[in-house]
Amino acid sequence: MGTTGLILLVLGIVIICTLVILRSVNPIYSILNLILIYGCYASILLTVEMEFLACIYILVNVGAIAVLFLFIVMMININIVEIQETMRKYNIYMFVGIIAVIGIIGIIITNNELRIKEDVIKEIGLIIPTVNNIEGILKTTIQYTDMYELFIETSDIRNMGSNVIYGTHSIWFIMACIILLIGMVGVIYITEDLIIEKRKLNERRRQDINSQVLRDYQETIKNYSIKKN
Amino acid sequence: MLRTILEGGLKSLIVIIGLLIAVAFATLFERKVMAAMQKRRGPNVVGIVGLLQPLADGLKLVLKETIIPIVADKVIYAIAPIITFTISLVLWSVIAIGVNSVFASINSGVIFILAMSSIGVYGIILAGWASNSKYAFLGGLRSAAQMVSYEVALGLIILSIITYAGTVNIQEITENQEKIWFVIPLLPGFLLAFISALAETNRPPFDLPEAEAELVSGYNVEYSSTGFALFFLGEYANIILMSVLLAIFFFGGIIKSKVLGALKGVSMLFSFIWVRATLPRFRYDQLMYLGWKVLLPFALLIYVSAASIVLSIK
Repeated sequence: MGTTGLILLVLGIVIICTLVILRSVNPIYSILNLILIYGCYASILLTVEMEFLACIYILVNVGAIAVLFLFIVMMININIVEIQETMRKYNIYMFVGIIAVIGIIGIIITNNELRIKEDVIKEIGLIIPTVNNIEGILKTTIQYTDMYELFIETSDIRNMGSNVIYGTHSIWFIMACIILLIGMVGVIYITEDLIIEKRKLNERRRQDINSQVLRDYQETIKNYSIKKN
Repeated sequence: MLRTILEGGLKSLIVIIGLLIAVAFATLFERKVMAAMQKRRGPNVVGIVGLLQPLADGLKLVLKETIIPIVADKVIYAIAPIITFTISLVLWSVIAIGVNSVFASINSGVIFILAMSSIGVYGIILAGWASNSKYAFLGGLRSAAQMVSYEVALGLIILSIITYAGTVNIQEITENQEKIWFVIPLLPGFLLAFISALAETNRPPFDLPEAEAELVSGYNVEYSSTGFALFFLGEYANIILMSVLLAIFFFGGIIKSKVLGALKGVSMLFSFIWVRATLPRFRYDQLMYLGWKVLLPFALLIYVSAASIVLSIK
């Protein structure tokens, strides 16, 4: 079993964990399986020699995000019957997942080597013989940078930062930052209405010191002369 | 294949046995130092001047009955101490004991330590939840919140060390300190890192999770026997690791001369115990205030200044 076999095995674990996430009644178990999936992805990154990315993946996803999930789920009281009702709509995904598991097991049994992309392109050309010259079309239109090669070439973190994140692919980095900013601002904007309403409620009860101080004796107290009948 | 497995097993066995002995004598060291500071004798009955006390304690813990609460989530209840103990062992795999004697010399060792210690929270929070007891749950939540919030400040200080050294490899950081120890240019950083390390390992004055007066014993109330022993071992292994890490990051490493290196580690451990014997406990809101509103801005300031100094020198 080489590297590809290992990766396939880990992917199989990922799919089983996904099924458990969907089916488990207790949300804590769902999150624990989510953490297991993060660990599987990190181990895939380790098998392809990207140890820095794997460590960062664990640090961010498991160490920060999943802890917050776990915190929130532990604090709130979730009705189990409700969960079981909502679970039914996931049954179709379960079916797809089982098919995927069977497919992966089949791949592991039949051929250990994942086919490289040129082979796949050739095979597509063989399957659809009516379209002429499909090989050429695919090769000319699909242009992509091989991120794996890029990372392997620059395994040093300094090179990775200066060549990839702040160099050739800086535009994607900036875009990701903008998306994050939009997410944060959006959440604040959505909840702002609630905050404003609360503030309005509080305003009625609030003591307005300024107007209290500015009240004038001459204006507030008036003398009326009442005629006696 | 067989040979690599055997070799790895032997290597890890050496690290684990050494660590366990270190943990045992760290507990004895703590009790003796505390006793000396409070004008007592400390343990002095078992063995010569009480040297065999930790062995007796360990034996007592293992021989006790394992109690699993009937309302507990049994699987997670069993897994939680194992996670804590395993993580505290895994952390030691990247720390070099000698010039060539390191279990795994990986390039991004510091990042690995940060990542693994962030997983260590799970053992505590799961133990608190799985016990299904209010004391344990509150202790677990408190502990997790504390560890997560102080990890940020510690991470920023370590980041400024990385910028100073220009590498994330632990051995290279040690080599960079040949001319000057990092404690001199980064003295405020060292103080902050020391405080954060105290909070990270749930030591006094930040031992809120184990506040005996309020929460009985925190997240490990329901544990007895081996489960409790595993928590105890993991906690002390983390304390020793933190003192060794502080010695590596700020005091020129532990490899160069073995006696001096050991002295550095033990003196850091001594200062951990010293703080415990001296300072009273924080209140919980004071703890959170200190973490987020005092340490974090200062750590950010130190990081920015360290980065700008490095840039201006270049």
